[in-house]
Amino acid sequence: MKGLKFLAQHKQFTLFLILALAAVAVAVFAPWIAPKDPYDAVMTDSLQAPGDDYLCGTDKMGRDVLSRVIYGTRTSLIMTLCLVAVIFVLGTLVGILAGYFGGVMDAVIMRIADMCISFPGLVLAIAIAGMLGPNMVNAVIAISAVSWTKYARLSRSMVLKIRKCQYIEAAVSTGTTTGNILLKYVVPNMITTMVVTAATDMGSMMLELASLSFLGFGATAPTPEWGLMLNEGRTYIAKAPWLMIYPGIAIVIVVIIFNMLGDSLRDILDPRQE
Amino acid sequence: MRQNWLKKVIGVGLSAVLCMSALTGCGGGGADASSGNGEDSTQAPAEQESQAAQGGELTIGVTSFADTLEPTEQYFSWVVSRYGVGECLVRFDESGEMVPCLAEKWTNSEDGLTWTFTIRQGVQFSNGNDMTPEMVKASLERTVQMSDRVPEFFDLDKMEVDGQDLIFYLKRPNGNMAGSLADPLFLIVDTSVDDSAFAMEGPICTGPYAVESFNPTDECVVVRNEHYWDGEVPLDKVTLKCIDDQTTRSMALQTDEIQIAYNLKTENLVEFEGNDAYHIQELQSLRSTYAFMNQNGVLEDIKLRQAFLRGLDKETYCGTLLEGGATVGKAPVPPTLDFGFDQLKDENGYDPDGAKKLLEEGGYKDSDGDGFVEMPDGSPLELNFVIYTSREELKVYAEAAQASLKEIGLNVKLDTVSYETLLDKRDSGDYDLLIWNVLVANTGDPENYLRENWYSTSGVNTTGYNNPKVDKLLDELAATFEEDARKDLVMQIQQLIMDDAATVFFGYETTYLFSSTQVTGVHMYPMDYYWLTKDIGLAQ
Amino acid sequence: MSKKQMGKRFLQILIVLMGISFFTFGLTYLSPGDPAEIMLSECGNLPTPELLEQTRAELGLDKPFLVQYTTWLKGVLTGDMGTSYSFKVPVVQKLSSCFWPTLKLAWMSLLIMVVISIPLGILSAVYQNQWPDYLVRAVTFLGVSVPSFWIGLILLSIFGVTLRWVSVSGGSTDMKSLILPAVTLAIAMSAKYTRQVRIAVLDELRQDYVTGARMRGAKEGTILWKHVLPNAMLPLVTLLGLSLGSLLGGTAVVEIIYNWPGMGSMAVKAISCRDYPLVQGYVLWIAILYMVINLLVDLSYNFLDPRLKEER
Repeated sequence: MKGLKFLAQHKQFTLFLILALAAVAVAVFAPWIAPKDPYDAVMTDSLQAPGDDYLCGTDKMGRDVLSRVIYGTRTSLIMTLCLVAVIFVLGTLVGILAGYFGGVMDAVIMRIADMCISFPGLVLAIAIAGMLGPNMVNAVIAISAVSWTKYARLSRSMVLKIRKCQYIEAAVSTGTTTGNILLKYVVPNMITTMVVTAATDMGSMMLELASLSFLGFGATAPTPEWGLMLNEGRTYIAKAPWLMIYPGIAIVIVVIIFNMLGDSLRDILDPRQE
Repeated sequence: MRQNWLKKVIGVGLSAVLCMSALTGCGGGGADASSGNGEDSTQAPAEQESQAAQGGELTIGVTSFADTLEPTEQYFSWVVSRYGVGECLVRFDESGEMVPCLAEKWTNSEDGLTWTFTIRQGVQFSNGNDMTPEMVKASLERTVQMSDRVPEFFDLDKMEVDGQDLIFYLKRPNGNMAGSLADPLFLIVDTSVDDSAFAMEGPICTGPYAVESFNPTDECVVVRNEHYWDGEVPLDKVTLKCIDDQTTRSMALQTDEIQIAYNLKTENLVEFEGNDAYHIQELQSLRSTYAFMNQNGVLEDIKLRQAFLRGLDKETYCGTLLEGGATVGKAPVPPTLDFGFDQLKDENGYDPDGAKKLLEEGGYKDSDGDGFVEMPDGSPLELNFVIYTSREELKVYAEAAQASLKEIGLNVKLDTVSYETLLDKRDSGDYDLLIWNVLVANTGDPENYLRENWYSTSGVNTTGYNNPKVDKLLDELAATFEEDARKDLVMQIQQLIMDDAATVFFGYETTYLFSSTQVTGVHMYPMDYYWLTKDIGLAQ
Repeated sequence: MSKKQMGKRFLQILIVLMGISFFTFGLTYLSPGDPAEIMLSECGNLPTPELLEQTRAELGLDKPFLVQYTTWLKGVLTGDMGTSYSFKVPVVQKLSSCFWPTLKLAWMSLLIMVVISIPLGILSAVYQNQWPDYLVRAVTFLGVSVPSFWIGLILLSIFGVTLRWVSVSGGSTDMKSLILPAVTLAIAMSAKYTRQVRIAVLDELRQDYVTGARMRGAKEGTILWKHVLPNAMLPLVTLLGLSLGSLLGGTAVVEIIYNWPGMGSMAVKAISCRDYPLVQGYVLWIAILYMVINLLVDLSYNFLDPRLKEER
C-alpha cells in the first residue's frame, strides 16, 4: 500500500518507471514480440521498403528491421546495465576505500581519477576498445575504464563528509569494527545519491555504447545493435532511409525514457540538486 | 515542477514528429534525383571525344589505397600508374591488348629466356631528365632489389643495354615477359634523384602528370608534366580525392564536388541512370573476389572446407544482393577470359544438405545446442573471416556468407579492418579466411595470378596451400608458349585448385565508371591500371 | 590564485601528465601485435625471423619495459614522438596538421552553441515554470537524448544528399564543409549548455540582492541586465572552457561522418591501423591541451571575479 501511495504521489516517476519496465519487457520477451528471427537472412527480400510483410522494411541481407530493432533493445539494455553496474560497484567501492582510509591509497586513486577526468572519455574509450579489438565486452570494458572515476570521486567526497559526523566517532569509540561501520553507517548514508547518479547516467552510457558500435569498435555483425545498424544503414542512406530511421528512433526513445526516469528519481530522492 | 512531465512529453513528441517529416522529405527527394527523363545516358566513349578544352582542373573520387607513393611497396605502384604519373615499357589498351609504351617494340628468343625491348627515344622524365636505356635498366634493377613480388613475375638473371635495346636474360622461361613488364610494379622512375623522397613526394616518372602533393588517406594532387612525350596534356591540375565511403563518393559526384567516381556499384546506378549530366560505363570485369582459406588452422580439414563452400548460395549473393553486379564465381579465372570456365566442374556448388552431411562425417557436431557445430574434439569452432572496408561488396559477400553458414551450423566471425591491416594479417597468417579482390590477368594473362596465389612457395600464399601437382603444372605453364597448350594447362590447374577446395571464389564484379558529362575522354580499361590518362579533359 | 597555489597546481598537472604518458605507453605495450612486425610489413618486407630480431633491437623492443618507456619519454620531451607507421611522417607533424581543422570546428560549434544557448537559457530561467521554460526544457531534453551521429546522418541526408546545399565528401575545411559538422556538434552541446545557463541564471535570481533590488522597486529588466547576468556569466565561462576542452577531443564521431580532416578522425584511423606512435602522441597531446585549458579557465576566475580574491 505504501508503495502504491508513493507511486500515486510521483506521477512522473511512475510513468517513466512503467515505460522503462516496458522497454525491459521488450528486451526480455523479444522472441515473442519480434515478428521474425533477427538473424534470419531472406536474401531474396534484400532492402525491401516498409510494407505489409516487413513493417519497418529489411536490411541488405534481407533481415527484418523491426525484429532487429526489437532485439536491439536486448543488446543495448544488457550492455548498458552491465556497464552501469560495473562502474557503480567499482567506482563506489574504490571511492569508499580512498575516502575512509585516506593516505597513500587515497592519493594514488585520486591521481588516477584526475587523469581520467582530464581527458575526453569517448576518445580514450575508443583507444582502449580499438586496442582490445572490437566486441561488445571490450566496449563495456573500455567505457568502464574511463567512467568509474566519476563514481569514485563522488563516493569519496561523501565518505569524507560522513566520516566527520559524530555518530561515526561514537561508533569508533565503542569499538565497532571498520567493516561494520562501513556497512552500517557509511554505505546507507550515501547509497541514495549514488543510485541517483547511476540512474541519470543510464541514458548517456547507452549513447556512448551506441557511438562505439557506430564507429565499429563495439558490437560486430550480425548482432542486432542500434549503433551498428545505423552504421550499416549509412551505405544505403539515399536508397533505404528506413535503415537509418528506425534504429535511430529506438535509441532516442529508450534514452529519453531512462533520462526522464533518472531525472524524476533525482527530483524525488535528492531535490537539492536542481 | 513535478507536474511538468506532461508538457515535457508533448514537446518531445512534437520534435520527434518534426524529425520524422524531415526524413520523409529526404527520402522522396532522393528518388527525385534519380528519376529524370528516362533517357539512357550511356554513350560510347568515342562520342565524348568531341573537343577537349585546354587547361582546367578536375577532381576524381577514388578509394584510398596507398600509404605511400613508393612504387615498390605493396601494390602502391598501381596508384602511381592510375594517377597518370607512372608508365611502363608496355601498356594494355582498352581491349586488353598489349601495346608499346616506353618501349617501341620487343622480341623474344624461342626458349623464352631472352627478351629484347627497344626503348623509345625522346622520352623525358617529369624533371626534364632524358630517359635512356641505362636509366630504364637502373629503374628496373631498383624494383627487383626492393620488391619481393618480382619472383612471381619472372626470374631475372641479368639485363644488358645494347644501343637503344634493353635485353633481359631470364633463368626461368617466361612466355609473357612483355605482359609482366606492363604491370605497374615495373613502372620506370628516375633513379638519378633522391629516391627516398618518392614515398611522400611522389616518384619522378614519365606519365602525363607529376605529383604536386600527396597526403595519404586524404588526397593526391597532380599537375601537368611539361615534358610529356606523347602529345599535349589537357589539364593543368587534377586532384585525386580519397573518399572511401561508397555512398559519400556517389553523393559527391551528384553535388559536383568530384567529376569522376571510381569503384561505384550497381546500388549507385539508380542515382545516375537516365540523367543527362552523367556518363555511365560498365565493364564485365577481370576482377575476382575470393577468400583465402588458411590451411594452417582448423581449415586444414578438407571436409570442413568443402562444407563451407557448399553452404554458400553465391547465386543469390551475386544476383540479388549485388543486384546482378557480379557473375557467380567458382574458379580462379572468370568467364570473361577464355580459360574454359564452363568446362570446369565444381563439385562444391550450393548444397546445404550435402554440407551438413560432410560436417557430420567429419565429426563436427553441435554438442552444446547453441546452433553451431564444435570441433570433433569438442572445442568450439569459430572461423575468423577478415575483410576490409573500402570495397562495399566485400562486406556484402562476407555477411551473406556468415548468414548462410549459420544455416549449416558454422560459426563465422567477421573481422573488419583497414586494407593496410588486412595486408599485415595476410603476411602474418593471422586469419582463417581472408577476403581478396584482385585483377586476374594483371599481366594480360592469368599465369602470374595463379602463380602468385597458389604456388606453394609464393610469398603471397600464406595459407599453407601446397599441391605438388599444381606447382609442377605452373612451372610447365611458364615454359609453354603455344596458346592452346597454355589454355589446357590453366584449366588443369584451376580444376585442381577447385577440387582441393582451397579457396572460396565468390564472384567476378562488373565495374562501373560514373563521370560527369563535363569531362571528356574517360575510358574504362579492363586492366584497371589507368584512371587518369592523357585523354581526359574538360568539354568546351 | 596565489603563487603557492599556482605552484601546487603545476605540480599536480605534471604528475597527471606523467601518469597519462605512462598509461598510454603501457596500453600500446600490452596490446596485441608486434610493432616490429607491423613496421616491417608496412614497409613491404616479408618479416623473416632474423629481420624481426634486428628490427626489434633497432627499435629497442628487446629492452625491459621501463627502459623503453624512459627512452620514449626522453624523445617526447625533446619534441620527438616517433614516426607514424601508416603516414610515414613524424607524429608531431601529423598532429599539428590535424590540429587546426579540429580547432576551427571546435570554435565554430562553440560559437553556434553560445548563440543558441545563452538566449534560450536566460529565457527559460526568467519564465521559470511557464510555457517558454517548458518548451526550452523539452527541446534540450531531446537534444541530450539524440545521438550526435544520428543527427549527423540526418542533416547529411537532408542538406547534402537531397538539397545539395553543402559538401558531402568532406576533406576540405572551407566554410561550406564546416557548417554541418559544426551544427551537429553544436546541437548536442547546446542542449547541455542551455540547461547550465538556466540553472546559473536561476541561482542568481534567488540571491538576496535580487529580492532587495525588487523591493527597492528596480525594474526587472535592469535587475536582469545589470546584476544577474554579469554574475551568472562567471560559472558559464568555466563551463565554456570545459566545453572547448571536451570538444577538441570529442569530435571523433562527427569528424568521421563528415570526413573532416581533424584529429578525431585521424585518431580513429590510427587506432584501426594500429599505428601506435600516432595513438600515443594523440592521447598525450589531448591530455596536455585539456589541462592547459582547465588551467586557463581557473586563472580567468581571478580576472572575472574580484570576490574570489577578497574571500581568500
